[in-house]
Amino acid sequence: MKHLATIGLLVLLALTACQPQPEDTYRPTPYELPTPLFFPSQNNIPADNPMTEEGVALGDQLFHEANGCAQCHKREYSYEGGPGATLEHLGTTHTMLPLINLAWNTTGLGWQSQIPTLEDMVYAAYTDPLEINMDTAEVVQSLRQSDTYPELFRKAFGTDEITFVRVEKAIAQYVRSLVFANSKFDRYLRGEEQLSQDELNGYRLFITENGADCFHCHGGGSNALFTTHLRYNNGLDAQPEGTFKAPTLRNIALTAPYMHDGRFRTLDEVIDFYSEGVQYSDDISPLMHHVMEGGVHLTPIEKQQLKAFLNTLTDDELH
Amino acid sequence: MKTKLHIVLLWALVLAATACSNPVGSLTLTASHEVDGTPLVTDALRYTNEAGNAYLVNEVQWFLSNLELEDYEGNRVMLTKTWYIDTNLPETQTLRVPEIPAASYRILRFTFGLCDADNLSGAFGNPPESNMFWPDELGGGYHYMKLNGKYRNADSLLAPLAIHLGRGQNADLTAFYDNSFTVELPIELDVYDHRDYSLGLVMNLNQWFRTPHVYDFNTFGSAIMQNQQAQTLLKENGFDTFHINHP
Repeated sequence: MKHLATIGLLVLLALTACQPQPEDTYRPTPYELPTPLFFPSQNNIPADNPMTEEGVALGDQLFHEANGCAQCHKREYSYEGGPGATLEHLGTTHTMLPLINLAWNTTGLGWQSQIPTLEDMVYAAYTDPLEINMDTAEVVQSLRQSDTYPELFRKAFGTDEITFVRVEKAIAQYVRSLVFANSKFDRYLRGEEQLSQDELNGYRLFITENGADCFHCHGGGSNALFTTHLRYNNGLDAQPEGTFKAPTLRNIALTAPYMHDGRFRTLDEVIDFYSEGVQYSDDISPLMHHVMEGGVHLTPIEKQQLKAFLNTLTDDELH
Repeated sequence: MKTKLHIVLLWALVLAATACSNPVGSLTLTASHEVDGTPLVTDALRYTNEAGNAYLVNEVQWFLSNLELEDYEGNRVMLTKTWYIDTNLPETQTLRVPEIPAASYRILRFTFGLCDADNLSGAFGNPPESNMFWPDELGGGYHYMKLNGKYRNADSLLAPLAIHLGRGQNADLTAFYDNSFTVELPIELDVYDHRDYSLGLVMNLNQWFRTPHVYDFNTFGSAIMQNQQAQTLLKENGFDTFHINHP
């Protein structure tokens, strides 16, 4: 009887040994996405791609691979290409949009909102002949041969099997983590810093219909994303090409060239356009209230003040 | 034993109270937009207002608040605190109230827009409502309505039409005015059994521009957020803009 109990104990031990040990269990750390003051509470995190510390870390590494997204999307330019990223230089049909605060973009990505999700955008960027231009199978093969990536994928997704869908998910998680809300204007909203009189005057121009009338499309006030993420015909041409997404104006001083085709090289040129260069067409957005006068007609001082305010939207975290 | 008795009495009270206010019906309200009896067709230059302005409408986005029913005894039932309605978003055009007490209701009442007490900046964190924000410099809170479109102006060009209503201001932006107003509509709604009742709330766009003031788009132009005269005229025109459609 005593022998029988011993044998039973040994069998039990053997069976237990076959079970996964606690340290092998896939237990990623949930990533706490911050929600800054006046940001929406609803975000675009899909149910099948929750953010985790491990997923974001993997995405960060993939994003910054030699042949990855960071080739063009540079942190110091709000994850755009910088002043040299013109259409001529890029060879693309459109300029870049900044990759910041996109966790709160629920209306599609790209200048024409043509890409439904950030996961889709990763696929589009990798496979577009004018962008990264890589075969997804080659990307996966290359990562599988790496010494480090299988382990990073295992930590992020509970398996070291690398697929392109997991590449998409990891990079999308990383991009969602790019939250910027610590500009001088944010500190003003939080009561931590005072704007100069010129900056305040510029903000009043930005936020009033009889001023520069920017806010209907670019937010401000209780829309702290500084965009509606909607598309408009803003009167660039008398023969318009369609409607284009209003980009966030956060870090706008860093994201030249401006407009979908990069036609304006400086903020001054942009302000001049909205002041007296708006082109009439039947299809212009009804929110371009001053188109019949060619623009909002700011004085030189008002233009300086508006620019001073726009400069307060540059985030310290980028430096 | 005494505690048990208390519990039984308490339950009896709860049951009695529940029985008295037992909801017997539900209500589905549908918001729609028309131009003088014809359902609104967006993006089509087919409408003419009282001043003779030809116009088209791209979208109508608006808030109503404090929506309530009143019965013949003067008892009021709150249906919703705020309702955002958007011609681009069909899901916003229907409001279902799951429980309506039995009564004969004679009035549907609401505030067009948001009254000052409820019109607080930052109250709506997410789009589409958050895109209705009204700058603090102009009084804050939210647009009551954005009616966006085009009108054929005196030069026969299609000029922007933006009937944006909200808090008004004086010229130097130091005093602000509540431009919301209360709408009361007579209804015949007898709720007496367990079923879904329905009412249609209709906005006739041309009424905004008709009585008592003929509102000419050429006079006020495209931007009226900072034009309290235009806001006042539209407010005074707004009272009879709505009617009920009993399906």
